[in-house]
Amino acid sequence: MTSEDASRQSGGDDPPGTTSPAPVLELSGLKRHHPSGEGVVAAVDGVDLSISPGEFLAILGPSGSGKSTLLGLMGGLDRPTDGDVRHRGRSLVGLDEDALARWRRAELGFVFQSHELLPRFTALENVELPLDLAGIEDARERALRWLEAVGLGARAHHLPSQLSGGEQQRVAVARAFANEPGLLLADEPTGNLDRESGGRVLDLLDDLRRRRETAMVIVTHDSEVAARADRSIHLRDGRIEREVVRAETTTCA
Amino acid sequence: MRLKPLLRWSLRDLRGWRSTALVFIACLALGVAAVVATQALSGGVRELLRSEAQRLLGADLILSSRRVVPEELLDLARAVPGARLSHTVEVPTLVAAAAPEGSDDTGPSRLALLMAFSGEHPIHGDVVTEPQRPLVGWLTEHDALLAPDLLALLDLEPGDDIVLGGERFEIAGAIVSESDRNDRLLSLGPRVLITRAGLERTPLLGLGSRTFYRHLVGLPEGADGAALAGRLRADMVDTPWVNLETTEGGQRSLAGSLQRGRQFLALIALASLVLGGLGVARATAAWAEPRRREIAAWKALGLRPVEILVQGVLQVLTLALVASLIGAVGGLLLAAPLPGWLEGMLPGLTVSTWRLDAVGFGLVLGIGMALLASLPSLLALHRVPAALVLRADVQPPPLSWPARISLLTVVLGGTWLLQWLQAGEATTAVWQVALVLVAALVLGVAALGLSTLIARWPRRGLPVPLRLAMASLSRSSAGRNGALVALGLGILAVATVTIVQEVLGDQLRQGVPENAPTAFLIDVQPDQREEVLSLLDEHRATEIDEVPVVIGRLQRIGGRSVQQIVDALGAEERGQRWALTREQRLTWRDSLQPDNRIVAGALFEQPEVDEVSVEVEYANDLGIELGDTLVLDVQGRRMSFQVTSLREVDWTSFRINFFLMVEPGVLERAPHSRLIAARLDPGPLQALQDLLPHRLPNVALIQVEDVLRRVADVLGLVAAGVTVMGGFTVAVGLAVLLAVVVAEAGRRRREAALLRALGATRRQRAWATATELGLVGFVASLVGVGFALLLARLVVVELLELGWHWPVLRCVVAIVTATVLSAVVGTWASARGGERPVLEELR
Repeated sequence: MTSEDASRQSGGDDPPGTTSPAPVLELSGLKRHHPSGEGVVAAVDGVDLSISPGEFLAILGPSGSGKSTLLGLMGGLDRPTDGDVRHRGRSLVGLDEDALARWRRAELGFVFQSHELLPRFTALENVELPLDLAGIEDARERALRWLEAVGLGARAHHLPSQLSGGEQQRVAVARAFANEPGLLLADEPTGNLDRESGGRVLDLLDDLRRRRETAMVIVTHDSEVAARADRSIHLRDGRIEREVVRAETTTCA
Repeated sequence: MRLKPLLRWSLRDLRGWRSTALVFIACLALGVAAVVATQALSGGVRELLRSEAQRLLGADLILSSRRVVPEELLDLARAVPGARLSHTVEVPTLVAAAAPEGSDDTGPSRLALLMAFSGEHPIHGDVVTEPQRPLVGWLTEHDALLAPDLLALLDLEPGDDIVLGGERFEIAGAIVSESDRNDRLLSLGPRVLITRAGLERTPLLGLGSRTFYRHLVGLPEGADGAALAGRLRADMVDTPWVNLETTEGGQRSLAGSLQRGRQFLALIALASLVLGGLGVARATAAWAEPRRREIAAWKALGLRPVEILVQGVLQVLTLALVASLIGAVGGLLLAAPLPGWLEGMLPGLTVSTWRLDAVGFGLVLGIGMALLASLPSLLALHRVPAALVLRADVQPPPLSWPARISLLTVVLGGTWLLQWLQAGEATTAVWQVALVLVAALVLGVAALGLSTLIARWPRRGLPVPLRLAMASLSRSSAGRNGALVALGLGILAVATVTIVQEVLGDQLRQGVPENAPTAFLIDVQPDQREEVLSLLDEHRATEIDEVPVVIGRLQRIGGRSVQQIVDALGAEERGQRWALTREQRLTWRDSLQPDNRIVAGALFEQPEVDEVSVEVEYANDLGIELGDTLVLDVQGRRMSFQVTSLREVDWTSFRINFFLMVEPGVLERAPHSRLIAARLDPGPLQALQDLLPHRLPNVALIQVEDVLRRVADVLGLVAAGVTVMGGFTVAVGLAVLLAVVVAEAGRRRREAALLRALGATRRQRAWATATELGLVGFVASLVGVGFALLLARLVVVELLELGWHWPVLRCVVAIVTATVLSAVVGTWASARGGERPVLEELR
């Protein structure tokens, strides 16, 4: 894969050579302040961001720069102090917990640094659970197909503890894609894996999101991960310090 | 919300409970078992009272009195077409084995409750005899049936002769049971049954004897018993000394006693259930705490907070159902032998404790308590912020005060509601829950105090295990505090009952003063007085005291008729009603006995009126005040007395004392008998008793020792029942301790691994754990026993007005046992599952 990176300050124009389809997610003036000791910490402090369908966005930054908080705000896990988060034009800020959960169930996939699989359930059950709760009739069959898609069809009936770290994360990927979301948020999905396993998980995520035209936001420390992204933003003290757009971007598989 | 998949996944997720499920089930099952046992027993008895009301009364209605009942009243019953009547007379008397004809020897004797019958007896129910034959047509005026224990005591058998009231009777057989006799435990003696014609042969119906007449009425099918009762009541206005018993009334009276027993057992069952709830709360917390991140992840994946809550509730419901079912079966098994204890109250009738309603009750209470107890943990999971999955430092906003108060209200209100169901009365449930709550609060404060004290205690120079234990105890842990409260409550329940039992038992055994009488001779006629005194002298009696006894009945108190006072009484004041309408025994004396003290007014100093001195507690109960005029019907004559003094009586002196003491010179001409008390050594006492049936057949002798033994037996029986139930509370307390240890197993394993890394030996670590948990048991039992001493003292000194001593040995044994048990159970639970390599544990 060849790429020519271009750097610019935050809030710049669309990347060259791309059209501007309606964004999947838009953040405007987003702030998340919380009290700490005697003062207030601005974990996210005025972020404007737009994510297009099928786009792969990487968020980088040092520890405490607000990456995870920003990801939480994007996924409706946290509520902003100020600003707005809009999904396909619909504001998430006014939604209650139930509505947010329903939204995540239908529109969002999540992959966490620690796979966060239910330790008592098999790989198949872990993927099946969200499908079943969403009322999908053939939840089990679909879950199995997803496990096969991530190369774990033969390990479907194993408990997470019987799988390697890479396999566990692939089950988590299958679970995240099972509902075929339009947006996938991943928090350091390769952070707990060795380079080889991490690379394989990343390939899988990239492949699936391309084929499904899923927009994907990854929080990472890893510059190699960021290098594969269409765009990466660097956070510092809750603000976008730098945005890097890969020159030749392919938004569709 | 789609309930079906939620239910499916909740059931699958039950695997996540692992060992906490066992603790959950053990704690709740023990609590439910206590509830079901109580309910099965009380439900069985209630059912029996409903279905066997006629058998238990022996008739459809009964007219009874200590005087002969007017024929006009009986005629009203006879006027009902098809009505059947049976008449009995009861009188306590001495029964003696007859010496061979012509011999001057006297055989052994015993006080017995003689009953003579005429007509068809009993109307309903049965008298089981050995050999089994119908009474009518079998017994002649020369025959008697004796209770088996009396036969054994006198070493007699059918065919032998006895002496009753100076006349010989032949023993025709034994009385195995009487279905209408439910006072056997506290009656004056075992039963002797003869015919009315047989009684007429004796002088036992003489003046002053404690005769009790009963007329049993059986009505034909379809007859209106209520109408007859109404007619009888209307005609009884002039004969208030006649009692009317009906099946409903009898049922109510017995049910009232049983309801009080049920409420007492319900209090202990509540303690068990609340402790079970504490165990459930700890188990649920132990299950919920490590799931916080998991729940956050699932919220991030789209599970709604309400679905998280429902999932938790479904899991708790499932475990609670399993636990309650196990507890219900255990409760039924526990209750199965209990009816044996009621044998004295319900002879010949079997209480069935295999009751589905008790099981249903146990399920409702068990599931209800499990939901209440797990509510805080389930709500905590419900409130887990989804962002926790991204950042470990994210916490839910603190619960607002209104929310905390609401939660507390729900838990307390729910507990009260469950107890209301159990005890059957809302107000009783309030004070019972309050009592448990206060005890729990005191124990909770003690738990915090323990942490604070140990945190400040210098540890330097102490052995390593003790220092480790103290370090652990100095951190206040909600789980350990909960275990301390649970264990303390269990110990409190058992200790209170056993301490009361011990103190009362000791009072009965040792509380009789050195010079107290050992025998009371009742129904001594004035012309027999000299002979009795001479007999007492012959048998080397000392401390002889004698008083006249006149029988009367209250008619008016302070200007109000007794009937007016009774009519104004509420349904709850049944005891007071009886005290007002029963026959009163009066005496006259010219001076106070040493065990009496005037507390108001002066003794017999007003020459212009006939004076009466009233015992102060009795006066309080009946609403009698100084200066009131009491009008009494004394053997048909109306007499007025002014209350000029109130007396305090030391009843523990065991001497003769009366509630009503009249000044001399007023009652001397009224028909009266004499009551004589005396102190005799055991040998002469028995010899005197054996002589009386032959020499003075109408005189009955009551041995104080016999009465005390009978009271102690009843007390022991009650205490045994309560101790079994209380034992459950202690078992639940230990189960809660187990729950806490299991809940903290992860922390303990990590700490143990760290200590291993630092070089602590296995023995040092085991001692540290044993010391820590032993101290928990020690403080729990110290506070529990302390609280129990307070409660027991309240019961013995304030309620029963008896003397008190500190049962030191029992308290020490309770504290040591609880300490050792806690240490052993806790250490065993901590050591479960073995040890993993240090690095693996700490990683």
